[in-house]
Amino acid sequence: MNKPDEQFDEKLSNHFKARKARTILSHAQQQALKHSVAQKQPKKLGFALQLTSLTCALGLLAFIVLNSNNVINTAPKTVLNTIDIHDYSFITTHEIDQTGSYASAITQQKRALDTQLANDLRRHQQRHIEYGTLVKVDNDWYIVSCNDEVLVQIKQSLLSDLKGRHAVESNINTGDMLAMAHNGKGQIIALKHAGVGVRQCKA
Amino acid sequence: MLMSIKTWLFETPSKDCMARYAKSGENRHLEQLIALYSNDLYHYLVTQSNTHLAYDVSQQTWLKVIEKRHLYQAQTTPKAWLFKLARNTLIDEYRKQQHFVELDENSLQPLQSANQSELTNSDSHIGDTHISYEAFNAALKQLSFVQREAITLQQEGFSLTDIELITQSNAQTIKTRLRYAKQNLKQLLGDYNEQA
Repeated sequence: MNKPDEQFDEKLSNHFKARKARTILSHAQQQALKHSVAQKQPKKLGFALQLTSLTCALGLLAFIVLNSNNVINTAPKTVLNTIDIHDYSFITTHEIDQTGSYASAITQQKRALDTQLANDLRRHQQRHIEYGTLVKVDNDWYIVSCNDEVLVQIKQSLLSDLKGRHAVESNINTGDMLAMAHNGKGQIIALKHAGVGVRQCKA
Repeated sequence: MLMSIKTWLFETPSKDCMARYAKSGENRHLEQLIALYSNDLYHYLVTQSNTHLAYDVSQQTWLKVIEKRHLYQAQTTPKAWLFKLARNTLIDEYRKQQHFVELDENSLQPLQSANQSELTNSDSHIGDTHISYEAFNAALKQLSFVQREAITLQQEGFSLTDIELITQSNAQTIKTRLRYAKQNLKQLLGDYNEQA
């Protein structure tokens, strides 16, 4: 670049600087600009507020989960001191009710009973003899069926009824392998030792 | 939400104010941008229009910054991106007003000296250090839109690449515009007469 060009560029630059210095927004205009733009700025939740919301949501979730766990865990443990009810999918309860009728009930621990389990239960009820270990005796008897998913609770009322009909073998102790005889309706009609051939549940 | 946490935990603050605003959308970053660039933008817009329209377009440009912040890419010069928005807004406004803007290259020819007598008096001579503001301003306004734009952007400190981005023209075209702009200014301000 030759000298006149350099001089011209320098003068041009100076003139632009001078022009720019005179062409600026006044303080009031700049404030008005900021104000009008700020009004159009979309409002958004602050990060702190988002974090607080997340914390609250997690807290609520934890409360729901822990609270529902308490409902499941506490009640059975107070009833069956050493037996973990969660090891069994079903508890069948047999008794003679106040009208003198035989009554049995199945407490379903799983909310969703799938077809396979329903079929297993049906098969279980159709058996004539079922084997299981007597695990606990208080007023009722608790027998863990060789099908490990079933805990059989025989209430005092049925025991008395069976004993009255001499359908319960004597000298039965906790830990004995028992045979439960069923009639065609799945009702327990007799309890006795499983015998020499059945000392333990088959795998 | 997860992105906010990630940003909060791992990312270092960006030095690019526009990038910070594009990421966060926070008003304080927008205010910083306005404080940094509003006068530069306004000067460019006044040069390409008038004070009233320049202020109006300036407001519209900042509103577009809010709308289009997600389109900003940090590798672009923030100032160049803002000027591009402002230029497009100004041209849209001219179109609305059915104001003809010479964006084609036909206006690249050197000016005829029709108005030269108005500018080449002793006060406005380019060789004279006392050249008046009015004379320089009048000479600048005599240039075509694209020539005036090219030289204003260059004087604003933009590189050739930046000017390409802002005007969406190729480098050769911009060089030609700059050459003719300077030539015309010299002519209008009577530099040729001085050298002669």
